[in-house]
Amino acid sequence: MPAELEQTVGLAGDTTLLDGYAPLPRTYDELFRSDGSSREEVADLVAELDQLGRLEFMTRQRLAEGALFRGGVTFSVYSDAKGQEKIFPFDLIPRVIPGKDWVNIERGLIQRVTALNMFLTDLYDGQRILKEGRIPESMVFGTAGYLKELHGIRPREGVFVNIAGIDLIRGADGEFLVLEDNLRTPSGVSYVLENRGVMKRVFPGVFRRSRVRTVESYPARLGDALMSVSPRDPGESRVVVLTPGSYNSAYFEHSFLARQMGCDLVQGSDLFVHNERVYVKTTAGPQQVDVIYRRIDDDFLDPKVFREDSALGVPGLIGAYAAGNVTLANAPGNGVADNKAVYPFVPDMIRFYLDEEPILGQVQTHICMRPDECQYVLENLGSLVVKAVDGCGGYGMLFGPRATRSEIDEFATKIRETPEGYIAQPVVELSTCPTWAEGEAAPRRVDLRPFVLTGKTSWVLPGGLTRVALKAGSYVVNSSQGGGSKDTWVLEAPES
Amino acid sequence: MISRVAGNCFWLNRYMERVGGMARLLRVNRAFVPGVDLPHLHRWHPLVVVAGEEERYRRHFGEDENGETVQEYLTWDRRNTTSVVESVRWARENSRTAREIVSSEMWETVNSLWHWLQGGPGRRLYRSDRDHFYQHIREMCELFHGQADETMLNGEPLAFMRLGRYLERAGQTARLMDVHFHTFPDEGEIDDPIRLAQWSALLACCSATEPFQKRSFGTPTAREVVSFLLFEQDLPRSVSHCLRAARHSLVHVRGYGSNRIGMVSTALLEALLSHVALREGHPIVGNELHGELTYLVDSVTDLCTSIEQEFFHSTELQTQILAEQSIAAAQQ
Repeated sequence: MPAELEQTVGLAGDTTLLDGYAPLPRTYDELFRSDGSSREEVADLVAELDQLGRLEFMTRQRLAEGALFRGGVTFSVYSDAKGQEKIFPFDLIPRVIPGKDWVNIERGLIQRVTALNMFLTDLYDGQRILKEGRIPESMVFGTAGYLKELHGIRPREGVFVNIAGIDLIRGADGEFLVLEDNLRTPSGVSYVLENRGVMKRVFPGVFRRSRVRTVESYPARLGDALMSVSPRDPGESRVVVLTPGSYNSAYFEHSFLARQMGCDLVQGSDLFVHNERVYVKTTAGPQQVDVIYRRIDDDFLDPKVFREDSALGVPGLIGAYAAGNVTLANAPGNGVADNKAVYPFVPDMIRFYLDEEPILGQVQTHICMRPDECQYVLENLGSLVVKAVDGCGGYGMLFGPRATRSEIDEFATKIRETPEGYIAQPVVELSTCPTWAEGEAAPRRVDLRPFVLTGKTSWVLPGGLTRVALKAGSYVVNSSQGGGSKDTWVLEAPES
Repeated sequence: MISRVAGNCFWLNRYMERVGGMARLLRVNRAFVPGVDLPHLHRWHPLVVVAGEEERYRRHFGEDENGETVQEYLTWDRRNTTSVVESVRWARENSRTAREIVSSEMWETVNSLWHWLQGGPGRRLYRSDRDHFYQHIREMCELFHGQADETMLNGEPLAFMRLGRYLERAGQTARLMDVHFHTFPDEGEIDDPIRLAQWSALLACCSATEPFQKRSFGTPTAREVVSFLLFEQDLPRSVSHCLRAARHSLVHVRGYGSNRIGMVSTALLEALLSHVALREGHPIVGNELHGELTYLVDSVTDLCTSIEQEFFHSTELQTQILAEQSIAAAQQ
């Protein structure tokens, strides 16, 4: 054996996985304290991972990637006919959340989603919250999210948000903060389930001993939640998943969820409306559809009401929905509650509708529409994160501390021109988690998207999608911009 | 099942059958051409004609009937909707769209054939050992059809797959036989040795050489070959066998559903089957054969269109059914 090869093998064999891991200064690390020792609640688990050693870890990482690729857990980069598919980069070191922290998150999420549902019900009906002046009307109607065509329509059980993905981050003090609400068509849950499947295969021992809460019941829970808001008797109801089609980057997830729930995956052209009822075309003739878990955007749902050029939607669908003959999950019109202009008011909503204090904090937000706050933002662009109100996926945003002079000037101009289009937030030092990078475990920033299902009651998937910025120093976790994912392990709460 | 998805199953198998048929035809013609003395135009041009690509080919290549050009066009050209690479691409799209229905084994076969063609290995083999290249494609298609029968639940999706496979194959066999007419457009001695050589080549295209030898003794005649390829019920690629297998699948499919859907298609298929039965035993040669084959190809096309309308794109029919149901309900 050549000397250098022997040495490499020797090194890898001898080095524990997390040896020499150093958390970043002034940043909360999910597994380690700032002095480099592991956090008490996760100490056993960290020790187990550590003992694997780097060589063994790399072997298992290869195993995992192979399994994901073969299983077709891919998202497509479908700009050309070559049909390239990539796996969503997956890091094997889990992000671990102790049971007692999770209890609080769970309560906070349910509280938040409940208030948001009440807000939507109110907004599309009496608009009490506006009349009482708790939220300025301009913040609501100044954005694209409110759909006036839908005013007065109340979905089944008053549930607008059947499936919510609430993005959480963790600041330097370790407190979980809400960064963003996703109340339209949040995606990512299929990766949570697939990642878990892979983790159980490659780390069976560690997994078994760690008392990790299961996520596998998600599709069944989703099915229950959808069925519980069917306009017809559940025994005779038909649920379908509506996808924009196989060229959509999330098609894998749509197909996955339909398969797991045991229902049909349909496209707009598979459905038609007759006498304000929705039917799916089958080889045995038309079958009535009661609940549509739709993964296409509001604008495209019904060419008769919204975009006329939409070939993805179903003509007459909104009419059937208004007549109460079909449930759309999520309800159309939710964009008014999850945009960045309304976000700063969610704590007030919780106080207004529930008469409770918010359990989860959120990031302090400056609203550029207000002249004094706008002035502050313009004077402090170098230290703020500026976001376009209708932007998503990390686009249309300025990260002050990393921006060049000309980028800052460009944003200053934009903000002066359309102040209502922007908000600004202080930089939050996102928490880090050990992540495999270039042959060792290094701190990389993470966020968390838990999923909340609401039918007659709400349920939170224990865990969610942990996204990780794979580039050193990066704060951007989006998959479209070099992010990856991790399995999220919520530990069972200690028996008291 | 969802109408569109039934269409995906049907087309997936049609495309894979088409891929296999094209690979067979190209390979057999490569073997046939060097052994016979034919005018240049009649060597490769007939393949373009039976692929239904005469007009488009002429637009791009004019009078160039060079074997290399034709093979390149029928194998690789993205502008040719029936080329091997385009058919594989569409097979893959159909199976990707219906991933929740198509078995993983079938998906992996189509997917790996696609990647093989797209990447270097396929192109390299095409250059270095063309016969082997076509052989590999053919084998992948056979693997695919075997996997359909071995790994799918014997239910409605498989029935649509088989329906697509056999209708495509019936049309293919008829088209293949028509190659003969386009190679020898003039009237002539039907059992002339060069013509017989081509009939043997066509038998090879249909994997029918050995089966034919088992049924026919001595020097074959053109009549015998024609009759074998059209009517031999025990031959998996004969027109008669394919139509019967299609009927079996169509009956199976209709067993799942409303009696209203599939009536027209069934009637068309039955008419075609009785037409073929009436011809059995009669010698069909020369121009008459060309007319007969054209009729078969057109009828199969019409049948596929009807299946398309009744089962896969049935909005009108489905609305009509609902209207009838509500009238019936009102009368009660």
